[in-house]
Amino acid sequence: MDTETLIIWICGYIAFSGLMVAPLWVIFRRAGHAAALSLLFLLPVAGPLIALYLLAFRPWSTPHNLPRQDA
Amino acid sequence: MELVLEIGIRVLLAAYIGIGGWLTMRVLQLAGLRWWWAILLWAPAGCWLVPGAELAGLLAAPIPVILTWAFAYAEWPALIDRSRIGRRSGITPEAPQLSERARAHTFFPGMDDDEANSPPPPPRPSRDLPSGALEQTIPHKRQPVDPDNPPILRTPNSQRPPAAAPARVSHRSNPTPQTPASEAGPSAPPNGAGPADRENWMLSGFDDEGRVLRYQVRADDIRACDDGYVVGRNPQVANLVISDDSVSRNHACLRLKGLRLLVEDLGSANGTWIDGRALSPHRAFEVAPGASIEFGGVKLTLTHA
Repeated sequence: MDTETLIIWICGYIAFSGLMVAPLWVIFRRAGHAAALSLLFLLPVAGPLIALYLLAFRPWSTPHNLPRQDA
Repeated sequence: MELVLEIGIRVLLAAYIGIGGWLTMRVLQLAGLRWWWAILLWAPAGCWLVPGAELAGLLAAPIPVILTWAFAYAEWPALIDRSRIGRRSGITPEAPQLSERARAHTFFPGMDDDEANSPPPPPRPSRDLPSGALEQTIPHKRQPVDPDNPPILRTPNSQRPPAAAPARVSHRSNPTPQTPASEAGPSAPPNGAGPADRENWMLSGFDDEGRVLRYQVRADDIRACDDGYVVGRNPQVANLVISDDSVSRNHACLRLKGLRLLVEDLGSANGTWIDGRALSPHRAFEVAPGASIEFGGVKLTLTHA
């Protein structure tokens, strides 16, 4: 892999991450977490998994996000 | 050696996709969405596991982006009451009542049952709402509320808050006694609420069938709820339960800032209204005594208790 290809890949990854961070910002906020945690997605390789882990296992605790409990 | 390296990379990628897919499934389930959307989300990455399908994976890269955007702005069934969207149905036959959690906190020392069971109903709130009563335009973007400077909704009749009726809820009686409007009749709230009473609040009004609705909310109860004193239809999560079809399960929440009461709509289907003006969801607004608050189709007047 030459330098030019590497740069193309890096630029592509940055563009992809940038496009993913914006909706993740909304998702984190709706889940009651700090929206800035979505920036974890910018970390290569481990970042998306860490962000997903936080979303999956930290309690969604804001009052407007109380789970619906059907009677 | 090169083959081993390639296989190792693909195995690591498969593990990565597996973990990511599993976490995504869990997030989707928490939101109440179908788990298999995670497969679509991770399918482009999965293309890289198949030799010769790398180009397909590259071309399919917009799919997870689009799905993530859709997920961000979609309604999350597990968290949002969607059952009443688009219709305002009538009052349910059962009486509105405080939840067990709230009922346990509605005993006021020094009040006898006679006092508690003979509530003079408040004046029936007028349908003629003042227009232009808001001091500020309510934005429709969710913004964090500055606790030191919450947005204020003031009405013309809020400058002099009317004194409220004494507490009408006891630990033994139905906290929301119902009386036909023709029998009870509206009466002026008595004067003389003491300083301690100024901390407590009364939401009162009539439903569409003329029954008197009275909900007493103690300041201590509101303060005890770190996430807000939830008003809604679901007795399992709401502190103040209003059994009306037009009220969402988690409709609104009340907060206190000092002695001032803040109301925040929790993204309810039919909205929360103060003096005829809809509140932006997820934003707390100060409401003054004398204002009318509508939770969906239930209109109540706020007074000090």
